[in-house]
Amino acid sequence: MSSTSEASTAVSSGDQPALPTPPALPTPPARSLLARTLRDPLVGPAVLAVVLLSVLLGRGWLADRFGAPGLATWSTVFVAIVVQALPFLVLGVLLSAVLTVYVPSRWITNALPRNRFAAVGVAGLSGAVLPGCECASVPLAGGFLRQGVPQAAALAFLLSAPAINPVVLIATAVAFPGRPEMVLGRFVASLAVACTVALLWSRFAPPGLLRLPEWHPGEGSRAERLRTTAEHDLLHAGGFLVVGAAIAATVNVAVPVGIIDAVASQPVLAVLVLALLAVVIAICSEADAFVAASFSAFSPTAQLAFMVVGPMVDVKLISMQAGWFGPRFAARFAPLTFVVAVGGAVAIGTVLL
Amino acid sequence: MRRALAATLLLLVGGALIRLFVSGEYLRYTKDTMALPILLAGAAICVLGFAGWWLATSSSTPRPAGSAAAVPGGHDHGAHLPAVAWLLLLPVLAVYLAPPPALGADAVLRESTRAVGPASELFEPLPAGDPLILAPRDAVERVLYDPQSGILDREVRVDGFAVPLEGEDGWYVARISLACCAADGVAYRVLVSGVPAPGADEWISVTGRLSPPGETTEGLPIPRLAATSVAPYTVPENPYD
Repeated sequence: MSSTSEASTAVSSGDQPALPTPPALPTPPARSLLARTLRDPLVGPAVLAVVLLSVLLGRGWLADRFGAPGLATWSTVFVAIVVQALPFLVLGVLLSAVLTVYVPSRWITNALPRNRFAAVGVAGLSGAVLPGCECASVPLAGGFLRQGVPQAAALAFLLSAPAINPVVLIATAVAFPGRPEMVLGRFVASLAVACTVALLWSRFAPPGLLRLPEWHPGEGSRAERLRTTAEHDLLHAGGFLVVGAAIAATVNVAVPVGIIDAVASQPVLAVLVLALLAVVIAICSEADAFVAASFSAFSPTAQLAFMVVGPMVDVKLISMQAGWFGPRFAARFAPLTFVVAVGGAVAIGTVLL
Repeated sequence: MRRALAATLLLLVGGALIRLFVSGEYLRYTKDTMALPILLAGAAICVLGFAGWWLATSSSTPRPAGSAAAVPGGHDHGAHLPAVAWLLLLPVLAVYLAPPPALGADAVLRESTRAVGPASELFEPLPAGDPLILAPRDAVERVLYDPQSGILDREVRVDGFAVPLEGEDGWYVARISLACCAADGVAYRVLVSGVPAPGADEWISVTGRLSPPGETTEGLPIPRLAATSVAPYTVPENPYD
């Protein structure tokens, strides 16, 4: 939150000195170059220079630090989450930019059914074609919203895409050999939860809670707008990805997963604990089925809750959603999704598993 | 200026991914199947960055000095750089300056990882070989789920890294398996006795005989290995199993 508002204040305060500048226009180029340089936020390059310099000078010290085993494990997990997520983020950002710049918004809004329920269902199901994990779905949902897709439909896509695409379903089948009901349960529960949350949100949430980041495609050719959009989205989402990765790595290193088995035999607590674990460890949706399978002492319903909650609510996603749709949105949307996801997993688990 | 900064940041991020691919260091963080996505993503980010540089340098020269000021916010507005984006420098600088090592003994002892049941109920007959060469994962699965294969009567060699245990008899020979990236790694380990513990994270081959786990203190059962010899083992290119 603070970083976004800092960004926007930095932009406006950087622009304010621009107002007295026009009278100074006829001054020699050197002077106006200086004025232009001053008008730009010098904080960024200065910070960059200081960080680069100090890291270069302190490299040996850093290597010593990273040599400390706990910190090394933390930094490995931190870098791993970012490196693993970036290709999917790039995919999502590029698709979103193409969608924003090249696809007329009429096409998408016309393709969606007029009826709100049908639109949410179609959007939720269409999540099945995005072969990625949650990092790709956030920018893509943002692209849909920019194109004027109704919130309910875009949110249904946001929640369902990381959970019901073929890559994730195949991974689930591999992780639970001989138990196709886990795959079916995951598909049905995730789709139902995504559509329910989207409808609840569009029915009860005050409008204006969801705010897309300030973004101007600028003028210029389509290719130039494509580049500007992709650059902005990538840097914006990437920054929030780093925040989420740092939190997830901290939990990963600090929480001994082994102790969780202690609650496996208590049915209600087991579901809640695994659902909460899914939120804090923020594992990629393509891998979470393997982790769910490793909790063999837990009930299938608890394992299902882990797999339904994880792709929809986790610290990495909350961070990215806060960056994309505003912190006030994330603060309400994440708890709502969590509650509905746990409820949906328990309901489907009771019927199917 | 802001455009040039954004372009620089993109080039640093894209360059870091390409560097991980070229050096093979990506294998410390993700599965080998991520090689191509990492390279493509790095290339795509670099293309964005180069295009940004080109636009920043080519559009600033022909434009009259005042034109940016004439429109409040100027043409830089589209390229405005969110402050949070600078956080990308953290993982990027780590990759360039001090790439974190692959997960090792510390991760195993933290129990931030845990073993899973066998991938399949069906085991092939044990291969020939004396000693029989096993990854820690095979050793764990055979002893726990396929003891009738005769695994307990064979001399085996288990290859992995060493995890010394404080104040206990024996040490682990372990290897970590990834489903997706290092955040979801699970450790497979065998409790070794009979030979002194090597240093933490040293890659070794331990030869001896396997036996079922004794009293499990907590968590998952860990097979034992009565070792007769231990030898250095070359660090594999892909440290994960």
